Amino acid sequence: MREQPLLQVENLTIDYILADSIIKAVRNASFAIGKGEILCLVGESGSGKTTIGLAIAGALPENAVIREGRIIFKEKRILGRGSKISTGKEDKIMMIFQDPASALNPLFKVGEVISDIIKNHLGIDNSVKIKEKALELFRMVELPDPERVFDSYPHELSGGMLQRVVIAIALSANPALLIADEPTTMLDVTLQAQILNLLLNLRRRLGLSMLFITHNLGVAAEVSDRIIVMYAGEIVEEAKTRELLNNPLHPYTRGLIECIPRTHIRYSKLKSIPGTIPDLRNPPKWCIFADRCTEAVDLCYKIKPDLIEFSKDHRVSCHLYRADKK
Amino acid sequence: MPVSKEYLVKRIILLVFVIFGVLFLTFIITRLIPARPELLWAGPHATMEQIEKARKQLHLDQPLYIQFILYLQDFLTGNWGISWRTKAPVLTDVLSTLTATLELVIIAFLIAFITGIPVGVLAALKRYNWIDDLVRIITVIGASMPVFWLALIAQLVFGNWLGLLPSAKRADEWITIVTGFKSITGFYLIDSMLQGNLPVFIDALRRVILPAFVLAAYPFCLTARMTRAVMIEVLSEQHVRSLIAWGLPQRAILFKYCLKNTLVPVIASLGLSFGYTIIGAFMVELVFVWPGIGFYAAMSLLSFDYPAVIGCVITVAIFYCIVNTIVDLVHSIIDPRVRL
Amino acid sequence: MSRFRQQRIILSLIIRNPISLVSLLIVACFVFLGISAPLTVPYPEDAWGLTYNVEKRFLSPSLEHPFGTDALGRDVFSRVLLGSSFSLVIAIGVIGLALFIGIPIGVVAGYYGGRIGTLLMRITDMFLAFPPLLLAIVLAATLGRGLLNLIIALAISWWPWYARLIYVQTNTVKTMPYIDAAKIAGIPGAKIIFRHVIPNALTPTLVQAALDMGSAILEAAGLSFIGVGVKPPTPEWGLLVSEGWQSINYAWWIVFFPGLAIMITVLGFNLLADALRESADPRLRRTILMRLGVKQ
Repeated sequence: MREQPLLQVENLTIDYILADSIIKAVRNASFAIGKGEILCLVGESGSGKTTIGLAIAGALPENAVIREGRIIFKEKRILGRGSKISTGKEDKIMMIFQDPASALNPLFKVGEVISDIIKNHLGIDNSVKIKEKALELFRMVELPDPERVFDSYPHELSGGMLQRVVIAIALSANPALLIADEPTTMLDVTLQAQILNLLLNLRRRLGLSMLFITHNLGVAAEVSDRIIVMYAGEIVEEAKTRELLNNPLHPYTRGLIECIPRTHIRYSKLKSIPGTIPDLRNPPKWCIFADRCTEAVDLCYKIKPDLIEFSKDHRVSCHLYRADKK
Repeated sequence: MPVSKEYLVKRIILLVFVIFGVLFLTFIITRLIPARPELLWAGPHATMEQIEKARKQLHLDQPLYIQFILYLQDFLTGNWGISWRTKAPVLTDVLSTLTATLELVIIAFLIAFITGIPVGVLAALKRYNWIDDLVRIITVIGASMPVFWLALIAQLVFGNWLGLLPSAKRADEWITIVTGFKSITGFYLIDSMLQGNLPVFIDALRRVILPAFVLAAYPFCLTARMTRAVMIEVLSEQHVRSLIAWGLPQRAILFKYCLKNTLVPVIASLGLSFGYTIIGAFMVELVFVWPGIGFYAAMSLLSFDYPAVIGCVITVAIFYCIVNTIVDLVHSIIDPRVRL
Repeated sequence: MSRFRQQRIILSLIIRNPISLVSLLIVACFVFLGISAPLTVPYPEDAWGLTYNVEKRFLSPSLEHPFGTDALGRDVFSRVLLGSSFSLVIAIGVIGLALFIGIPIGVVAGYYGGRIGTLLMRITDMFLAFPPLLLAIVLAATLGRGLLNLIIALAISWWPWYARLIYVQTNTVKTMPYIDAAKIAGIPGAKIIFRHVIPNALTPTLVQAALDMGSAILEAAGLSFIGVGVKPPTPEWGLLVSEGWQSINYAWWIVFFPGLAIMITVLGFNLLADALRESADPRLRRTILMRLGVKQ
């Protein structure tokens, strides 16, 4: 008997309606996150990874439409916009963002924002208790001088501090799942490591599950238990982190790994994958990666490959592995 | 959140400089541009004697820089010249008209903002809906209408054709005399209310409606358009998305957070809207025979009463600078980023 | 993507939207009528205000006189039509003169900065301390009535906006790498200004200026209405409204049609400004660029 996963996403398909066209941002994405697991969504910009994160957090923009699919969290079906998801006092899904400076309203002290979130989620009405809770959270995310931070406006804090504030806000609801959308991309390199370590610590202490979204396979390799590689709105490969890095199957995944700069190999040229993402208003009916794939054969331009189980816990969507299986 | 003392002092010093600049520019325009300023000053039908007197008044026999110093001195001591149309000192005339204008402008301004902001917010929330289209069309038409024309048409339709509202003056003289109404503050609505004088209050209220709504039309359109544009911008910002993701109820997000973000730039632009309103009052007061500074200025312009015109211009300009200073102070209170 | 290409895309975008198409048509009509009116008005002598015809006073609108006749028996339609020429002259004159004063001041202040820049911008601020139109009122009262004086008065109260706008633009352009490159190459300052700074800083200001023509017409009409604009019998729209005022209770058409002409013209410019603003919205434009098959 396998344990029921914390979050299950089935056949998620999301479109963005624009003034004159429809962008098919995510198509048929299915995956699951176990309790206490860190799952990484890796892909270049426009691959639909942030859209999936927003869909799970219930914060898709107005012009996004969920065409198909289910999201099951703690055996309850959740979907749609707004705060409908959070009904219970605990077990919430919270999210942190790429740019902490723009994630916080510039006209409100960060203390006021976190107080509102605490009041809303924990149902505390006493302002002294709320502040105590907020300061406790600030200490938990290792913010220096929490009292001062509480009374600060976002523009008075540095980027690293703001990201800690955002993490504290996300933790204030006692979430079971934390969605981290590129939380270190906008930070300096030294801060990146600090924030990553903080997140890993919190996972250990609080038993958090995490959906970690990044375009950087290197970062993903450091933090994750499992990695899903996305390309142009589709999942192309999914495996445990070590397996994926040691035995990448999909040509795109292999390309991504080759793109990671390595310090120990001298004189090697940095590689890149030629070409650009296909037009998502009208994605090809055949393999989504065929146009950029160096190993594409005729079949790749005719039939879309299924996401098949190559080995235990290793799924890939590529015709190259079709023969091996059958 | 009080204004920091430093900012207040800085802003007041700046105000003094700006008023000095206004006076300086007015001096240049009135004394250096005309070939013989005394001719303008004495009026179109002046005798040689009167022209000579005007020359003395303007200190035109002195060197230029002394002229300027004396001009400043005259301004500060209230020596603003004599209006040859009313034969009264300009300062006295101007001061006696101020409250009438303030009553009208404040009412118009309140109408414009109390209606403009909700309409703009509504349009932004109902984007891609017929409500938004309607608001956009009405406000863009309103912003394109000449205010004096709107005043004339409103007066014609509501005053004369439909006979719904009186369309001239602040109060019926007969009613004020019979009821023994005495204006103390100069604000008829407040005075009549304090004195419990219902007939005058109703009469004054009925008379203020048309000019106030006509005057409010332009700032209303400006406010609604700006509120809509800013709100749409705010709604798409990341910090709104994050509040949604953190599960705050929609009502709190819209009316606590987004509204404040929207109001800050709208309030910061109040000064300019006020400028448009007070200039609009020149024409609206003229049409509705409203005895304010706009009517006084327009009558003075029509009869080439130069000292009176200059008195009005300086008063309105200084008033505008003060309003702008107040708006800046309010802005610094509600937007922490300004307080630097 | 070349700038030319971008402008063509924005243009095609405007044509596709019905509202902006209407606005474009209004503006085009206004310009066309403004140019052709002196030659095509049905009653030229009425239009120029040279006649007095007792029998034809206060005729209500009819086929012969679509907008009726005024207190002196003149054809209101002819006067309104010729009024478009005057409005066109005023709009172009005011905006042109304001640009002529504002651009050099803004560019010099922005490019050289320092004490000269501060001084120039303080002078600009001094003008901006007046509420809109007030400065024009005092100038017009000082200069006296007349078409040229009206244009000068409005332009002098108008240029500071452009000086400010181009000052900001110049400051942005100044920090561009190609300006540094030109400086290092030893190209003299004046040449850099004319070759590089002005062309790059100018576009937004010129667009703004073209759209401001509506406001110029509106303000000129206001000045004429309160008696400091053009002299009668010039058929300027604001003055036409003012002339019809006395007889409004029995001849509403004398007031109504010139005012309507102002409103429609200004509406055309305002709608065009809205359309341009929308097309400049990056989120909106991206979708349109995608539709047109342009990769950014």
